[in-house]
Amino acid sequence: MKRRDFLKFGSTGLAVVAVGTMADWPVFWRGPQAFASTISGSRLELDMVDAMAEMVDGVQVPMWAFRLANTVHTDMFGGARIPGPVIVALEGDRIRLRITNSIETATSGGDHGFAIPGVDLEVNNQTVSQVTIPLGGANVEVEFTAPAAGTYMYLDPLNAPVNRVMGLHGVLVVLPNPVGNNTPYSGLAAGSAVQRLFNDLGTAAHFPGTPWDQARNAIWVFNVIDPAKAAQATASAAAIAPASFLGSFLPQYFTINGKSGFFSAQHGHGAMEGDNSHINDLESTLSVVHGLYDSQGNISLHGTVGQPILIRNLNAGLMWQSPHIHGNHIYPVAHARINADNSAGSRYIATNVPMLDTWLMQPGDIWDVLHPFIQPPDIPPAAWPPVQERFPLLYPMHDHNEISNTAAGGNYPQGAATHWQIDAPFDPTNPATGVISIDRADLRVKTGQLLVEGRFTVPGVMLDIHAGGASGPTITRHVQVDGNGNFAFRGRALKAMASRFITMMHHDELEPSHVHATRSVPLRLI
Amino acid sequence: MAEFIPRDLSSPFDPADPMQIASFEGFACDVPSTDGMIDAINNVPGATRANLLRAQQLFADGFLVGLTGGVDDLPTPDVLQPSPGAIFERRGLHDQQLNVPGAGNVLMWSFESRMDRGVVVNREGWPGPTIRVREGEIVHSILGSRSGPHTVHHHGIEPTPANDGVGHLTFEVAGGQYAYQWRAGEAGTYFYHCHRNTTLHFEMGMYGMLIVDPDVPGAPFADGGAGVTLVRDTPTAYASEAIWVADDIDARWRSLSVADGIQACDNDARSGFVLWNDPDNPRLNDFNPTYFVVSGQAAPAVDNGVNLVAGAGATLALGQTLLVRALNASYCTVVWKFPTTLQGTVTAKDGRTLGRAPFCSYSQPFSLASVGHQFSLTTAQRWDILIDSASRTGQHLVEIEFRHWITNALLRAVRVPINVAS
Repeated sequence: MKRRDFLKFGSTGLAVVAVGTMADWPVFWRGPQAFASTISGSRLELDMVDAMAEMVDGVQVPMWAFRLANTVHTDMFGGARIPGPVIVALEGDRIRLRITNSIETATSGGDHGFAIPGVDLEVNNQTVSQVTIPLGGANVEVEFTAPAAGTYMYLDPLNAPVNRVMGLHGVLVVLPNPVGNNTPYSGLAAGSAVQRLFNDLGTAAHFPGTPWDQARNAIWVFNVIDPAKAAQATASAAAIAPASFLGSFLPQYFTINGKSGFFSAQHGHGAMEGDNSHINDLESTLSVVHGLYDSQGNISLHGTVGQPILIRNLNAGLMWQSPHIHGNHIYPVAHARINADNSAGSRYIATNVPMLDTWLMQPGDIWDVLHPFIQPPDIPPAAWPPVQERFPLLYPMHDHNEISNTAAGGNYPQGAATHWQIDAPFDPTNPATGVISIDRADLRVKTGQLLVEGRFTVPGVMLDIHAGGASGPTITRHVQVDGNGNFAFRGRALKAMASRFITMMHHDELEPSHVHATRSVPLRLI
Repeated sequence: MAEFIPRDLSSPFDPADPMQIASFEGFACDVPSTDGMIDAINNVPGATRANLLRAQQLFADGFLVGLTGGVDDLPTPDVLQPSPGAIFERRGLHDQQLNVPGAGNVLMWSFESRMDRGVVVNREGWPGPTIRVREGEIVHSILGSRSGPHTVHHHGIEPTPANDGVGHLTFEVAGGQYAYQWRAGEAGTYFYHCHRNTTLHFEMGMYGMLIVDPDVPGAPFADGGAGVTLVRDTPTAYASEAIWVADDIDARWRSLSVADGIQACDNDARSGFVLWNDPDNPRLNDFNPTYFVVSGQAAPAVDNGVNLVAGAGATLALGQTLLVRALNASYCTVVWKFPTTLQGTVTAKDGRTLGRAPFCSYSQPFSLASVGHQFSLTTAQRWDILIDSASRTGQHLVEIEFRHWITNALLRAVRVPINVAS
């Protein structure tokens, strides 16, 4: 059986592809509607293409875009998109890409290339920081080792910043080994601010709810578009001079994940009370038939109180932006910066982590911010939960440099805006919002003996273990979570030998095909 | 052949679906209002579908039944008795004047205060009068509909959506008045502003400060005077307060009117957009400030190299402590440069006290020296800084650089004095 696992990506308007080791991680990202398949096979193929991007008001702007090449992945979310598909990798993974330049020479604006600032690429057995992808449909094989866990931008570094701003950018998310790690990063000191913050989520009195579920991520890529400059940049086979592109640059459109206003806010999708189901069924017909599921549909976020989410912000554009979130302050936990010439700048995990309602995103900035999803602190306790006001509670996120909340000079608020919503108060007994943590996942190679230890936030229920992804063969359906939320499994699991991953799940008891909580982890071979 | 990327990629939008077009209209061209929702729920002819959908999404069944638009105010859901005195009333103002030295008067919009801390007043001016409360209070801030529709968003305060003042997700106040209900959960520096056609209304000046003082005797304190702030968890006295709000003004925008740039409803979510080549396009993406302001005091119209804004300055005696509350209310990135002759400690950001348990125990205060005595704030960011004047007497100049939102070019550096008397 050729296994196709499906990767669910929460709350963003981005397509997600998992590669390398992560290809076996079926439900790493969770969201209300978004699914994407993992890559079976070892190579991701990307095309650079000409694109005609429709703005919120229907105006069409010529740009360049990445798209999944005409392979099995095309079914996932075929077609050009800006930003390009998110690549998800596990720290240390060896990733192989084949990148083809299918941009027409006449509209190419010169050469195009590929880089991931801060990541060494291997091309033709040479280590390089960037590579040119020749015009005319030529392709280049690129390999790299997934770097330290965090958020990265891949881009066309040439003619900076033109090719990046014109659409040739995307996101690489690198995840740490989750076994025994409740944060998005590796190697945090026990007493460090970020480690303490993640330790407190769902355990300290001020964070009633669950720990951070590594599935709960969002990505917001900011960009700005000047149609006149875009027309000039795509008007010939020669590269526009950056000074000419930047001179009098006057953005008319301000996008998050390539969309803006009503369409980045996702109104009409999941905004009504009751419409907050998580369709976590990895075996769904739709997914199997199509092999893929397009995840472009969610930029906005949702969850109950107590479901923290990591929002990965990237500024691919040219504006000093000022994202502002209502309803909760956020914690900025990790930062990186790409220099104006698209080279790697600084990268660090924050050591002094304040709470902010507005954060600075200068061009090239990457900020991971932890949205705690706490009960909004300025609702009077006597008015919680609200009775005369309905759930979901809907709050905006918008750039507070309000210039960017326009489109074509007006049309407020059709710019850099989205929203997030609180579906309900926290219910600690609801497995649908439960989080599985795995502290140990060892496979004894000689005997096939599997040892798994961990915790589930809902005591007293039963979990499954599958080999590989959630659609992989079942190892057991009877892992009992005890009254303290702990579980342990010891048994033969030869089925796990091939994949070297396991996935733990909780199913809905009435609808067993409906998956509530999942956690996939690599096995330590001993 | 270029590939087409639709605007609604992966979240298909169907304008023929009445729910979807109503949702679109409520977001953009027909933002619901207090009167509009009451009328829609009570089947008044002419009530729009956007108002009906929004009222149904926002409020429990029956909440608005029996009310009459234009007569009854929209009630506050889950209303509570406010804390004694914690009632404020504001109305929109479109006729205030700011004197810019060398250029004369410049039109500003603002908020008029009709009531502060439960006392009837009649205060105009710009920026709007401060809302100042004590931590833990249940506050009602009432917005009347004069010169509206407008809203009040209490920036950094996190109440329910109905009390958050974001028109396109909730409603604008048109007809009657609405009492926004919120709790002053955490002491700190906030501000309030209108959230309708915000690009224009905020730039035109529809904002005021909102300060939550710690729950200590004497709070809430008077603007500019002595008071108590938190350093970590410890109430700490200061002798003087400087509320420094950086703002910038594009004179061209003064000719615009409240609804300029709002698109028209069209049933297809396409043809109602304001077009770029429309001669009446307000070009709200084209912002070129020429006047620069600190706390309602304009720097000289023409750059004179110093650009002193003496009126916003602070005065204190040697050895006293000054609390600076810095807000960027401009559309520039603002770089604040403090003189190395003064030592200071950054104690809070965005209304959250660094190092305060439990939520801010992942942070700690830090010295101005540790950041080279300078820092950048983008629009709406706030820092609180405790300045220790023990070092020396005299005039210390704080430099405030306004940098362009795209090019980062320095548009103007203005200076505000801290005068330390012996």
